Order: sequence, then C-alpha cells, then structure tokens
Amino acid sequence: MVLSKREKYIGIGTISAVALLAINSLVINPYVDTLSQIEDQQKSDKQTLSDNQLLLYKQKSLQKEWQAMLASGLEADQSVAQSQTQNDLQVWARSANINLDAVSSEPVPTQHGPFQILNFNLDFNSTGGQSMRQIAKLLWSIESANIPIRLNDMRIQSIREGTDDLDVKLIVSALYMPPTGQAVSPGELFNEMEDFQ
Amino acid sequence: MKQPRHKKVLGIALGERSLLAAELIAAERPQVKRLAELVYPEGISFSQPEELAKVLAHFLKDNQFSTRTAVIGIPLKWLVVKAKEVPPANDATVAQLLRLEAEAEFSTELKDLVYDFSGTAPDASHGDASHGEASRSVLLIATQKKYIDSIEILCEGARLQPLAVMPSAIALGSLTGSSLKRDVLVLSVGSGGAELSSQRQSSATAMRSLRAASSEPPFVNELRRAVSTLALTGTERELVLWDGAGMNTVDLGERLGVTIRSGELHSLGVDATEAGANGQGAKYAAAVALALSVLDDTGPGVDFLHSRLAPPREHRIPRWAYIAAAVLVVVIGICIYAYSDLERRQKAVDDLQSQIAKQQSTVDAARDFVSKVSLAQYWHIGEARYLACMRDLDDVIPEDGQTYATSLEIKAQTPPVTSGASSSSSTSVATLSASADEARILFVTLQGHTANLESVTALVERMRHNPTAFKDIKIGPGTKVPRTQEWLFSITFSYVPSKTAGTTSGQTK
Repeated sequence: MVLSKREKYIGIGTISAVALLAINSLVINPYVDTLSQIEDQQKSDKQTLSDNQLLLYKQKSLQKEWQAMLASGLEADQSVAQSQTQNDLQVWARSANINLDAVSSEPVPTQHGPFQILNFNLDFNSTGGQSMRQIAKLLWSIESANIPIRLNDMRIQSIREGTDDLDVKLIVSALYMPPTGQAVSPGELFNEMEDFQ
Repeated sequence: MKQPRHKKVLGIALGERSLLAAELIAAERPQVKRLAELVYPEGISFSQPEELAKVLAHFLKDNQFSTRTAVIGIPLKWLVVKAKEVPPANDATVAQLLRLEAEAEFSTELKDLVYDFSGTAPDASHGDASHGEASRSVLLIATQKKYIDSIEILCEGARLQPLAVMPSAIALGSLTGSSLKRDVLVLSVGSGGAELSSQRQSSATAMRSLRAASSEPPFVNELRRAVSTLALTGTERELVLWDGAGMNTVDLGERLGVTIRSGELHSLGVDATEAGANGQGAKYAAAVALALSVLDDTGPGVDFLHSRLAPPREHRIPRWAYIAAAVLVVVIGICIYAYSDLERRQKAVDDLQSQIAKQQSTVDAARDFVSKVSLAQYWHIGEARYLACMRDLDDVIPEDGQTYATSLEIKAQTPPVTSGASSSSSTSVATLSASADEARILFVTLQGHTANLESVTALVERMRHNPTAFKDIKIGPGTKVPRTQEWLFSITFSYVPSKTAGTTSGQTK
C-alpha cells in the first residue's frame, strides 16, 4: 500500500497523539500524582518535626514552673489538699473581715486529666458600706494565692434593694495530684462505697 | 584578509625515483620556507611504502620541515584521464553524471580505482553555441587504489597528516594558468619524466605524461607530437616550462614552434627568498603548487582522498530511525531522571519519618508533660480576672443615682483536658496556647435597676466602647417595676481580661 505524503503526515500525527496520550496517562499523570503525594508528605513531616521541636522547647521552659507548682502544694493527697484549702479560705475571709456562714466541700473529688479537683462552696453575707471592699479583698486573696486554687463561680446579690447588704456565693476549686497510682476516679469511689455497704 | 585554513602546509610531489618537498607558510603572499628533494635510496621505491616512510621521516627531520599537514601530489603516469563533456549543471549533478560515466568507463576495475574530476566552470565562449548554453568540459581522472593506500601508509609512517592527494600536474597547471590568466601549455620537466598539461586558464583540458628529458631527441619528438595534438584556442601558442632538468629553452622553442616561457616561483604569487632555491626554484614548482592548493579558499580541484565521485555512503539505518532513537533516548533519560528524583524525594521523606519515629517517645512524653502543666496553670493563673471584671463594670455603670446592680453572676469555663491518652497526637503548642486564651474568658450576667430602657441601651453602649474586654453583649428581657419610675434590666456578656489586668495589681472598690 502506497501512502501519499498527506496520508503519511496524518498517520504520523495520529500515532504521535495516541502515543502522547498513552505516555500522559501511563507515565506523566502517575508521576505527577506520586510527586504531589511525596511533596505533601514531606511538608507534613517537616511541620511535625517543627512542632516537635517547639514542644520539646516548651517542655524545657515549663520545667521550672512545674517545680514551683509542686512546691506550692500541687503534689498532695486529698486530705492534705482539702484541709490546706479550707484553712486558707478561712484565713483569707477573716483577713477581709468576712464571717463565712458556710464552707463546704464536695465529698467526692472530680477527676480532671491527671489531676483531682475538689470544689468548695463559700456562702456569706456582707453588710455595711465596706461590703464591696471586703468582697474584693477576699477575691484578691483567692485569685493571687500560691496554692493551686481557682475561682469558678461567683454570685453577688443584694439582700435588700437600696442597701449594701449583699449575699455572696463562691465556688472555688482546688487542684491536687495524688502520687501516681493513687488517683481515684468518681466511678471507682462509688463502687468502693457500695462494696463497703 | 580571510584567515587561511592552515598556517603551514607541506607539498610533496611524488615521483618514481625521487620526491620534491616544499614547506609553505600562509600569509598574504605565502612564504616558501623550505625546499628539498629526496632521491629514493638504492633498493627502495614507492612500492615499499613502509621503508620509504622511514626514509621520508628522516629526510623531513634532517631538512627541518616542521609542519605535519601535507598535500601529496602523484605523477601523471599513475593516472587514467578521460575528457568528458557534461551539460551545464551544478557540481552535485555533474558528480552524479560523472559517477555513472565512470562506472561505464571503468566497470571492470571499478573496485580498484579511485576517481575524481577536474573541470571548467560553464563558459559561454567555449560552449555549444547552438544550444545557447555553456557546456562543461571536464577531465575524469582515475588512479589505482593501491597508490592511495600506499600514500596513506607512507604518511602514517612519516607521521604526516595528508590533507589531499591530487595529480601534481593538475596543481601546477591550475596555478600557472590562473596566475597568467590565459590559456597556456604547462610543461614540467624533472629527472624522472615530464608532464604536459593544456590549460584553459586554471582548468586543465588535457594532460600527457612524457618520457624523461635526458634523451633529448626522442623527448622533443614526443613533446612536439603532444603539443600539436593539444588544442589551444589562442592564436599564439605559449608554453610555460618548469624546468628541473636544465633544458635549452630557446632551442626547444624553435624546435617546437611555440613561445616558451620559463616559469619562476614568484610568478605563482609566493615569496621564495627564504627558501634559498639557488636557481632551482622551478624544479620545486609542483611541490609549491600542491601546498598552495590548500592555502586558498577553493581547495584542491582534485582530491582522491575526498573524491566527489565516491559513491555516496548508503545509510543502512534510515534518518527517521536516528530521530526516533534520539527521541527515545531523551524520553528514557527524562524517565530515569524523574524516577531518580522521585527516589531521592522519597528517601528524604523516609529520613524525615525516621527522625519523627525516633523522637516519638520523647515527643509523647513532652506532649503529656506540657498538657499537664498547661492544665495545672489554670489553677496557678495568678490573674485577678474577677476583680478586673468588677472594676471594668464599675467604670461603665454611670453615677447617676438611678442605675445600680442588684445581682452579679460571674462564671469561668472549665479548663479543657488535653493531656493523657485521650489527647490527640497532633496537639501542638499553638493549640494549647489557644485553649489557654479561651479559658481566661468569664461569662457574666448583670441584673439591676435603672431609669428606663434608654438608660439600659446607654449602659450597653458604654460597655461597647471597651470591645476588647466586653464581648457578645446581649440585653435580656427587662420590665418596668410597677408603681415606680424604675426599669429592671438584665445584661449578659463575655469578659476578656486584659493580659496585664490581672496580675497582682487588682484594685478594690
């Protein structure tokens, strides 16, 4: 079969186009996909490494602070944390000329991550022109304390409108970290109590 | 001036008993540096090229020839010459025609011959007037391949690089004719024989090899016959004699009936003063002409080493196959590069992952530690957020004697737990910092009395003047207190303590 020049060119063009398509789908596209995957993975790994470095640096920088926290009473058992917090609250209240009507703590601590939390409910009335000053002083003592304590909730309500007689309720939580292995979850404690009965 | 292709060239005119050598230096007027004759020693001839090569090497060294590029001239005796008329056409077409002619002429001994052609350019004055176009007269020249092979062996042995192999008579005749710019007979007489060519200016139209001039009467008779048969277009026949045998020019001219003119080297356009030919310059004319033939741009007219009539090399592999192979090689090269690039990148990723894996236990421990400390920090916040909130609220409540608070409730959100086994492995320092910022926010509900709804709106507007502290402010349902001029209001908002607000400088009011 003799092909004319035009037919030859058409044939060469068709074969070239098919070959290019085949190369594109069999070689170029898989290559580009693989390359893209590798680049994404590389980017992600670099980010992970960078994050890890930052984390290690942060760990180093937090060591001193952690030691200070331990020294201020973080590492304690429940009874120590409870009595220390209760005692400090009483002292701060007296210092602010506040008579605490009630200081109660929840009997069962709450597990919060590796820590245990004990909540204290403070209830008192403050009367007279100095009532806000007294409340502020107590708040200051709680918020600037060295021991691991945190004010979670505060409710101030006037007893009689138009006077400075105020009813104040505070919920304060104390944090402690029992030595490893001694942490007791609420569920476990409940089970233990049932067994006791 | 155009730069010559070679700076120094050696012209060697081979003979059966001796060879003549001339070294030329390219210049505007080329300089003949050295001229010398090598008479073959007893028992050595051109048929023993290896032995002759050793002798030639010594000869070149002894005579201080420094160049190694040479043009080799061969005598007419070794040639078969046929005059041919070809139609006006370019050299490539003429070469194809002559190749066919040569195959017809020398069919029996074609394999043993090397052939080329020497011809004139189309010239109307000499053409076929009846056709109105110039025909072309060429000489088809062949020599035995064994001579060319011997010359190659000779050159290799003498460490010469042969640029061309051509008839000495063609080189000399062409140069003589072109320098005189007219049609002449050119006779070169040496000890081993004589060569006569009829020149149409630079192109030879006929050539004869004659016996040696030592036996004068037979030589003259042979020469006379040759001269009479060679056609010349001019009215006066002129013969240029390059005499290397000491002939009597006047006597020879009378006996031949032609004007004889003695050739001198300087007439060829060269400076031969340095060569010291001592009156024998004409003897070396052929060697000088051979060297000169490659110093100009036109090159040698005939060259058996690079014959224009050599059959074109057949390409066993078609051109498209070369192109396809080149494309294939390029594609394969690109594929190899791409593959190695992928490998390199994959290795880099593997290295990174290996580093991450090595760090994993340390990083896990660090993450747990940082999360634990970050959580504990919420209980060591050292920031008087509640006091700051009350102070900022006190600032925005107007001292109008009508607006006062009856209830204030402030709640903090429970700090998030990110430590321990439940934490995501992707928990980063940035995430922890963001969580810490969110945990500082307080949620406040304020209830109180004021004069009217507009006063409530005015209070909220005052709060909005401090957008960094008071956010998401919403006015709750309000009511007018019966039988009074007071309005009971409720406002909820988020309070964001400033970073410096808190630390132990909380004011009390």
